[in-house]
Amino acid sequence: MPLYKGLGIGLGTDAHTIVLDLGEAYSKLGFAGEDQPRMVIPTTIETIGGPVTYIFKSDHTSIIGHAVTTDLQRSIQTFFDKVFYKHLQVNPKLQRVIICESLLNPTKIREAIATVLFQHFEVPSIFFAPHHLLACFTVAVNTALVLDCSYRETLVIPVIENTPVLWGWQAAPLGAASIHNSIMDEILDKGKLQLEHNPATPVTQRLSDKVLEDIKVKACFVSEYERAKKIQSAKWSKEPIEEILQQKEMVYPLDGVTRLIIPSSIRENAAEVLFEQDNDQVSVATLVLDSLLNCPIDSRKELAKNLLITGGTSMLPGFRHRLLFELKELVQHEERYNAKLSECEFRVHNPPIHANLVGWLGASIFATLEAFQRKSITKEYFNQHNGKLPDWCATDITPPNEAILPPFKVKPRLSLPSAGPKRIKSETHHTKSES
Amino acid sequence: MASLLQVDRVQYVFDVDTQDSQSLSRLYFCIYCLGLRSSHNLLHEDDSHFCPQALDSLASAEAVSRKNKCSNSWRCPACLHTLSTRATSTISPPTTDSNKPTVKTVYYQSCTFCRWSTRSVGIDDKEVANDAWMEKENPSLPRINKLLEYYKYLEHKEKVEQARKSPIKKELMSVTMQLKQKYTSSKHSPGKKSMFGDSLSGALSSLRLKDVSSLKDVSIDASSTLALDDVEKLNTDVYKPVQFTAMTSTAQRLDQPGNQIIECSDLAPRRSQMFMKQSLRCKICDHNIIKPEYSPTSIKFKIHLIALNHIPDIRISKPSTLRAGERCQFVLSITNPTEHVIHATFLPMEETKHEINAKIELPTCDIVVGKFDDAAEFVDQLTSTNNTDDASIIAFRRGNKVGFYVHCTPDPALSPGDNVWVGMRFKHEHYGSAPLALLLKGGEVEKEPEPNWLTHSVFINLGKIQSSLE
Repeated sequence: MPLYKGLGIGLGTDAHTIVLDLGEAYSKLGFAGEDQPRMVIPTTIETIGGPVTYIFKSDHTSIIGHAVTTDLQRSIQTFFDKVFYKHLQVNPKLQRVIICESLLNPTKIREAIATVLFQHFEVPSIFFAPHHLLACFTVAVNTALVLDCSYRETLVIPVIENTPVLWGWQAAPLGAASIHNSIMDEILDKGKLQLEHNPATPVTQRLSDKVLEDIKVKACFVSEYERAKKIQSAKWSKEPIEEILQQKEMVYPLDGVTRLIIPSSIRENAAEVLFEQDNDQVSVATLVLDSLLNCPIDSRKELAKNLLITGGTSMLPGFRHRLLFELKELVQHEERYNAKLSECEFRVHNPPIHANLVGWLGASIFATLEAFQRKSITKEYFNQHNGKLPDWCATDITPPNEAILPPFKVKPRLSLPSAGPKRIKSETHHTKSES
Repeated sequence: MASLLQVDRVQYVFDVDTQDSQSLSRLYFCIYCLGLRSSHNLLHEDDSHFCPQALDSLASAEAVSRKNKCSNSWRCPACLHTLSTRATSTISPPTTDSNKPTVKTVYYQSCTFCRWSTRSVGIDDKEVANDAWMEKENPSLPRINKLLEYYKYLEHKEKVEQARKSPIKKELMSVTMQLKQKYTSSKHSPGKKSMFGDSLSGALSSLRLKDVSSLKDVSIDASSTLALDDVEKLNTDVYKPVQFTAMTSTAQRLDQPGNQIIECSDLAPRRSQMFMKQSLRCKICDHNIIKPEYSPTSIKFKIHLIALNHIPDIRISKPSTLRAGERCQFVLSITNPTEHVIHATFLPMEETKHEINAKIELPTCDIVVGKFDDAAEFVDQLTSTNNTDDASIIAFRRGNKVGFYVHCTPDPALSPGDNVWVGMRFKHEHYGSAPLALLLKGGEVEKEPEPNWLTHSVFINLGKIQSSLE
């Protein structure tokens, strides 16, 4: 194998690595070295005459909605059939695969995916990469505080010098799912259904997720801090607040004959669930600050200056501004943060791609490198270890190409050369890990 | 699901280990290892790509370079169906040369399904039918390319450094050289290839990477960060009334991931994806089961080993009302697709994972089923040739199709609306294509080719329990 393949995207290379970002709601599929995924599809499988099921959907009774072993594998297999043969149109036997996923993904799911890919599709190698680390590739920084606000939850993990700092993780179940629930609650409260010219009737049944997502995507936004404060206090005091929206009610066409009449206040109230602090005083903004508090003191300023916001839910209009404002306000006014974080200035990055594709783009960049090929889990390795994968929580398995077991998952070890006296420090870090 | 032939009622087991079953129309049959296969346990191979609109086909390698997109077909961004190019003629104002107004044909694209057209978003009409429409490029493409280059450069640099730092024979270097190597930064002024230019290069030549090209120094700025004041505030336009039809839905946005468009007025046509023709291969004996033709206009196959062509098909011919605990009579039909007369024997079902909630009484003797005859439909069959059929078993006989009676007793514990499943095994012969192969080779054809006896487990859904009031 040539040691240096040449710069740029090789159209002449024989095997394009497949890059997958599997999320609970949507999956992004594509090839390495490209600037955008080929397709973004919902992570569902459809059966003839049956319902459309999200394969990774968790409900409150079990980690995943299926029996863990064969059913999950079968669903994953059906889903990957769709991915490889319908959307990407490749033969998976010839391509390596990189999967961008969350660091807190249950091991069972990861192993099920690996089993399906190796045994059924016979891919040559797989690499599971943490989303938060890959996001740093898209902005060319070593240290960043990555916030992933997606369907089920928001997860903050700091990345210091290309290493995800796992003990600084903060997560909360605040995401698109909770916004949908909030919209649904308000519709059940005040919304009306109207069938053609009949009088309007109140809504009694839960609307489908698709409709809720549509309403959220087309109409909702995150209000400004001052306005939000008024909304939140009005919720408790039940006093009406001044109307800022120019429309009292909106009419949403459900299908050809039914119309859904919803109050316009949904537009600004829905996303408040992300920012209002619950009983534990947790909101998306406090996650960032709590994570900072768990980090080493000398890195806090650097992390605060390099906030990276990813995830589809963060694409709501006004999200970034509100988050930065909240951070500033919280640090100023709340005692628990004022003491330790008052010197931090918060700055947010502008990645070159939309926030819901940042993880995918990072994986695409990483997959063009040779380190990816070296560190991938091959079929032989997988069989050797009886279907167990190396993981940050597994202490008995050595990742491939690693002499010593690092405390974190297999990750890229690129350290940016820094000029001058700092050079020696990064050198020692380098030699220790690459021994 | 209701379908005309109700194929999902009868399921054949194709995987003995997991007892997975499917209807026969969805299964394949490998004549070499004599087993039913489903698309799940076959090897899929990428044969060719084709576009059903423009009817052009591409081989796999070409398709990769064109990103699986057809050059001439476009897709409507609103409903994700195909766009058709329409031509109209317009009259343009008279030019200075002639006094008459000139008539030109211009082309625009419109969707026959949702009535979206390029004119409604303001894209100009083009004068050439093909090759005039452009797809929107991702605006951050240069930046992303730079990132890719940068990380490749970084990795290469790391590799070279590592090679450099690995223990070199100390005799080759004096103390000063060693110190120089240890403490000098490798990142010199841009453009200067210092790593290879200095006097150590001779010593390092044995360790130098073989095919290294000149190392362009790629530097990149980390992407800019925005403070609170720089981040754009909430646009006050959002306070205006929202028009649900003027905003794009999630599916429309995600159709072009690089440029996610929010307003419907910005939608632009996209190239449509090609479809893939696959060939399927048996994993056990490595023979091709399905091999399609390359031409996109042809729906035939070069190799077409589907189960319906080889295995007799059992269907429910005449249903009857099912009541819990009551014995009722059904007529099942068996169709023989092969060109030999076959004998079908029915056996009771063994222990299985599928839930069977009725007992079935099967005919005890074999049933002879005639062979498939192409010309049978053209020849009048005046009377059935042999009336030696037992009328209590055989309901009818038509050419290669035989109907036979079975009796079924559903479980008394079932309630109205439950599906009644029965299971059975049936055995029949299969004559391979060996005689044909011998004939082609010019050898002697045996009188009676040796048949292989195959046994299949079949599950049948006889219908739902009727409520006792009916």
